[in-house]
Amino acid sequence: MPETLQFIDLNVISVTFLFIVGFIGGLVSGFIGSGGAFVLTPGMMSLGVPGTIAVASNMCHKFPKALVGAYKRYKYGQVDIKLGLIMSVSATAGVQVGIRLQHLILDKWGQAGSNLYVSVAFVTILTFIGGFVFRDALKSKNNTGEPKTAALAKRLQAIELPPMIQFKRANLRISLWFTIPVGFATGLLAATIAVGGFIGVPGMIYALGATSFVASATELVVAFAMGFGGSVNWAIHGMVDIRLTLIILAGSLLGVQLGAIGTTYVKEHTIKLVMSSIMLIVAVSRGFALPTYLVQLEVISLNPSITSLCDKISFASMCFALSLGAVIILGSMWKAKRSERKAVAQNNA
Amino acid sequence: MNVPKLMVIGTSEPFSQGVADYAIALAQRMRCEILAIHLSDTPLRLTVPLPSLSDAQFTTLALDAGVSLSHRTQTGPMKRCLPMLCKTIKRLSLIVADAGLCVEQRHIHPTIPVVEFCTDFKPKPEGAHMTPTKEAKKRDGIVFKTVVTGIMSVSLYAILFMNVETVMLWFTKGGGYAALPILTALLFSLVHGAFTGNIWSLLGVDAKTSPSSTVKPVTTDEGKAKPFFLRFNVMKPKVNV
Repeated sequence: MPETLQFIDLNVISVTFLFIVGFIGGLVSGFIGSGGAFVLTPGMMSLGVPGTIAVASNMCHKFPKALVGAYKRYKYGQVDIKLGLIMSVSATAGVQVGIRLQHLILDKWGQAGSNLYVSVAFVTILTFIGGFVFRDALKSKNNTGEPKTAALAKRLQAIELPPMIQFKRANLRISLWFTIPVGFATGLLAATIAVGGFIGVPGMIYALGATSFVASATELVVAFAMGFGGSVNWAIHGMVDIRLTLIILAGSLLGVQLGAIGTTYVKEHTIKLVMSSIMLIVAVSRGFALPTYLVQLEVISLNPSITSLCDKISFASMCFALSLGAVIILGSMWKAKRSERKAVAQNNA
Repeated sequence: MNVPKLMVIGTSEPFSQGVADYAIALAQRMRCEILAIHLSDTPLRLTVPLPSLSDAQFTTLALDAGVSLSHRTQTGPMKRCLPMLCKTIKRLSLIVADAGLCVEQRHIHPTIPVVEFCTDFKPKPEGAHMTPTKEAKKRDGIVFKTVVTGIMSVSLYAILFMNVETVMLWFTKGGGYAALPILTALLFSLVHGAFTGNIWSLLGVDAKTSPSSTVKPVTTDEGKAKPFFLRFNVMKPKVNV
């Protein structure tokens, strides 16, 4: 381990901060199948944790959290293990390609260039996909019947390209070849912005034809596989600060189970709504981070106070994204519980 | 002949009159045979003692109503017997459980409806329907599990953070020592995960299951004892898929 890597001293404030952020991240993860990582890593860095240790410790908490979340949602009949495992294989390949791409950009343009690449990826992908999912969530909110399979997924499912695979829990039959790009893109995005689910979950919904419940639950299997592999890699280099990992895990395991329970109280469009809201706000957040990197690369010049303000807005809006997700999830659960109690009281009257 | 079956399950004690009347009436309507099973290894009925009848009387009643009936005694715990019975009995259409038996959905095939016959208490507004004694027992079980897993979780955290310097020394060595942080994270997730799951159960925050609805009892012959309350419980293990 290089001498320059320092493990921070922990105090009550930092422990509390990590626990709360872990809880909210876990809550969102349990609900939409991903999320939390994009706040946790910068959150740890704001406490003075070096970047590589933050990423490593975050990843080491991600795979056990995903395991617990996946198990909980498996009990509710939402996880398609076969689909998750098949996608994990291509996702792992995507992670490796993503890492190599990152190294290439880092060698060519340095740290600022790498950060710019990550932020541009954030903004473009999240804006495009988040906008699409948001629009679909609003449309399907008014649908009272069974959720419809996306048009693209219907077309892909109709193509008989061996090997065709039947996914029982997801209730779909599709060629293996169409699962590969979805899994690969998930891994690539995970290696780039640390949240593969922002492509994985919409990919499963709109390209493969799974419901939001199955897609968000199955994503946890993929997250476990990717997180486990990545964690082993980081641990071999001695980068994991187990204290940070376990403090975040203390909060996130509490949150992920609540998020999983929450999925049984809501309709399908709520999951899409939460996911797309978070994606769009995070896209805005990363947009505010762009000026700093452009200044570092000497593409533009700005007053340091402006770049500092942009960084603060960027971080604050990321926290807001996560908090908003948590509020929507908890609010939906509370509403559903209240109507359930009302209905039972009326029945008994 | 491959006739549909209606399985009535009870304890080692005689069946209650009410469940016998109800099962016979249902079997008549559904044109089923009745298979009356005594589970010998179940806890004693915890409800108020009910008028009951012997196996011979049950058979006579059924034959009088034109319903074929056979008896069987099954040895073993419910969690083992019920899945086995569901598998081996062909064309099993419905299960009627005598009063006081708490049939858990995971013991039954998800497509076989279960009627729990209860006579002496009000239905709970939500969740599983049990006698007050069994409900208290279930809650005690959750409290016990929460306390035990809580102690384990706190102990693990305490052990780790009281020896944090030694832990950090070994866990950041890299190479083959990579197994240490990985296995530690897995261990904590198992113990702490169980603890947090129990906390939510203790707080009453559980997954939403399919609603139960009360059903008016099927009327039998005039003058026979009618159940005061009957709950028809459709077992639906999958939610929001």
